[in-house]
Amino acid sequence: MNVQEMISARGISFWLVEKHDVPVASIHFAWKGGVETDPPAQQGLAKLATAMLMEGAGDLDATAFQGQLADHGISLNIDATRDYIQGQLYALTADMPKAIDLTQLALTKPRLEAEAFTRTRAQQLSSIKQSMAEPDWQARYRLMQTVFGGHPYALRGAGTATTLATIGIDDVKTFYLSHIARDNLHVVVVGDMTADNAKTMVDQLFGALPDKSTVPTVPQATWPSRESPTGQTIWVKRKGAQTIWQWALPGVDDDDPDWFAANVVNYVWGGGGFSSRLMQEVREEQGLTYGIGTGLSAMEHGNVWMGKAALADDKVSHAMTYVQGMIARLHQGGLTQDEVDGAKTYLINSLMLDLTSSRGMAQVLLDWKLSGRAAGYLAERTQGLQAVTLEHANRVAKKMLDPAAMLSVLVGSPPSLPPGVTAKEALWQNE
Amino acid sequence: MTIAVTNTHASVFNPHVTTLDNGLTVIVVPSASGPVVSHMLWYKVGAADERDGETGLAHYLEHLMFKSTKTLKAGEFSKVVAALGGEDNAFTSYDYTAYFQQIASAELPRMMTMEAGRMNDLLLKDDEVLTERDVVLRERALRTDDDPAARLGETVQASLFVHHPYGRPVIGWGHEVEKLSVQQARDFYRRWYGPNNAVLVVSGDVTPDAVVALAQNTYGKIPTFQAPARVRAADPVLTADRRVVVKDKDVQQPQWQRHYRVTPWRDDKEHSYAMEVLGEYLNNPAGPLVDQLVRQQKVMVDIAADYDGRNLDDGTFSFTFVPADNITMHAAEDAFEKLLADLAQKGVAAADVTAAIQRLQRNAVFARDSLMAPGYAFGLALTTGRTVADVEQWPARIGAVTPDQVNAALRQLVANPSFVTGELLPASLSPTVH
Ligand SMILES: [Zn+2]
Repeated sequence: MNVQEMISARGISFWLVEKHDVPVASIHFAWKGGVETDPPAQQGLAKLATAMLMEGAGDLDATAFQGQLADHGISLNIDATRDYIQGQLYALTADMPKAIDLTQLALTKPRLEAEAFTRTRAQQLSSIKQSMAEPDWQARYRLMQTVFGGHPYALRGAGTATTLATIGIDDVKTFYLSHIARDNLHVVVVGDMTADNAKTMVDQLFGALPDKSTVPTVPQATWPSRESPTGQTIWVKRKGAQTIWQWALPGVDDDDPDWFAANVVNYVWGGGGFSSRLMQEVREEQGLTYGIGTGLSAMEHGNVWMGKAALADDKVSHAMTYVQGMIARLHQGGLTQDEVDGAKTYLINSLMLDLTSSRGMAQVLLDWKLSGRAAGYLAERTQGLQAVTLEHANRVAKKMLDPAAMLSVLVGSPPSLPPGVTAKEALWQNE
Repeated sequence: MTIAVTNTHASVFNPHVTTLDNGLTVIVVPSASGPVVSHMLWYKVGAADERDGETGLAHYLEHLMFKSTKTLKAGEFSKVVAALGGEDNAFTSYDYTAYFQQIASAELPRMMTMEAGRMNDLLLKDDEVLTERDVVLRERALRTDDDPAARLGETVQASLFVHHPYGRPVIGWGHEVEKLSVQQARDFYRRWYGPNNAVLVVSGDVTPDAVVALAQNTYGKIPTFQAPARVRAADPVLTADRRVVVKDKDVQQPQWQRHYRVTPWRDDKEHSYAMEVLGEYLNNPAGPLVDQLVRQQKVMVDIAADYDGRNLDDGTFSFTFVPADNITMHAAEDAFEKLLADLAQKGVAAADVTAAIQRLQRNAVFARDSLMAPGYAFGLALTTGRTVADVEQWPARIGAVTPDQVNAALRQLVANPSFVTGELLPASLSPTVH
């Protein structure tokens, strides 16, 4: 993978990987500042604003705009995530000029018609209602609320019926003005395109955007804090076919010297699919769950180490006790040399599998670019992982895997909880 | 601008196809995807091949294929793959069960040795088999029992196929899954798993000769067996109204669906290709359903259409919508039926048919930007009665569909009495009464 650092004629820097085996290209782009910048009373604004970019631009109303995308086989998605507004543009090389035309039209001349706004807001509300029916969503909502307390990361990305009702078209316009500019833009181009072609297209896409953004600053989230302590259990009572259990521990920053070691520990504990201790011992050996796993979430302004499992109600107490015991074992005894070696090999080599399509490669590179990595990060990453020793991994396990720090959310009807655990009851969220 | 996908790519993947002496079909698609390979083995057996009373057995066996063999311990298969930096998994449907790994191409021989091993050497030990049954029951709880929309989908399917085994859930009915025995798993494995009932697809950084030689050395050593014929009961034409309703306390957003049972590809291929074009036309976000019902009449929040003909037996054509907030399900359903009837009467314009065809044909190029696409395309085709040529000629077949055929397909769909309507409702709402 040869990542070229490019600067367009109009001064927009981007990364390019030329890949001429299939006549397609992917342009992935992002602006910093996503859901996190929504005012609390207007939660859902970033998602609504990005959705409105697909509702017609210039002379094209929503049907005409989406019809032209479809007729040229252009896939264009723009969505607000926690930290960013992210876009993915994918088309046959032959259709790229049209794809660029339509995308830049959406970014610079969105129509923002009242009818489309009302309809798009209703769609967002409908998807919120569908999400709220999911016990998994309910658990994640409580977990984020508890971990991030008053920080914007506790906000609901899609908003609520109440907050959506307060958002008007002017708010969407203000959002575009503050967020969609050239100084907070990140672009990656992968595919059947020459360097000169790519430069021209990047200029056509983004050259007309304002120079400067005015994205509100987001403070760093500190967890645990006095407002949001660790070590609690929260229980949303619900009669269903199972109990959802989600948990969190403090995480680690992706710039931290412990980052690679933490990834190795995570892989061995619960990130490594069938190879992880959690899947091996809780699923394979005991048949307590279909899926159990963990993931390190390193965000722009805060970090958390999360895990989840779905369990039969009457197995919740046993499974929680067992997993707590496993954390204690990792905390005290650490990993084995074999486990560390296996994790390193997997983490180093499996990345290749994400790079086999132009879209996969573009997304991996954009994620790196957004987290401040250099274009040559692939080699740096490999070296960083290779350098992790058993001793370093064990030191990280000792520091981070503290059974007493675990914050748990249960959604279900377990008949009992592990000895000594008292749960704080919370309500099923329905608005 | 017109695009000549049909002319520039008369074929899609240009595969290399071999059949080993023992009957295993080997398909190789070299591609420039980096130093990696996708290794996929498909068996021509799925949930629709289970006997009465043993629903869920095909999927259960899929799980058990990761247990002890003569050379591997339980769970070791996936561990070896991961330790080499690869990914592996498996999936089961009505007509097939497939196993795959994506991994550095240098590790292909190891993958073939292990996959060929479990084709013939699975031990199915009592304790491992029974523990995994609990896992499958947990999977059912997660996917279906605890999800009102999935429970509705399962009941719609069971009501649409009242006699053919497509009416059963792939994961099985809970009361039967919990009683599946070690002996049933062994019998199913012996009855269906063997080289002449399987299709191997290898794509990525490989050469056909090397793959065939490796296959010969691994899979090639497994003897041919007598694979059973896939005989399934056919459904009657039912003309009674069938409406299924799930009401649930957790549901806030009502949803509606209608599934039609349609002629299998096998029985009328041209009709099936026309249905594929019709599905693309109707599901287009700029097409008549979304434009009229969502944007103009505002009776729905969203609507989607889907034709699924990729089966050995009957296909399905389905519609799903979410009614607008202030609109009753009844009114939204009426608006949908009226629009579909109007479309059938007026006919789809030739230009719309051409546009839908070109949208579909582009997918043949996009498919080459994916390591696993050849595996999915050929595996699915060859386990559902199709040939390699059916995959390679797909763009041309789609290109040959005429507006008359699309309109005939639409009229036939509107007049088709074999359908089931499903409603997902909050506990407080009453179902639609006509
Ligand atoms: Zn399964």
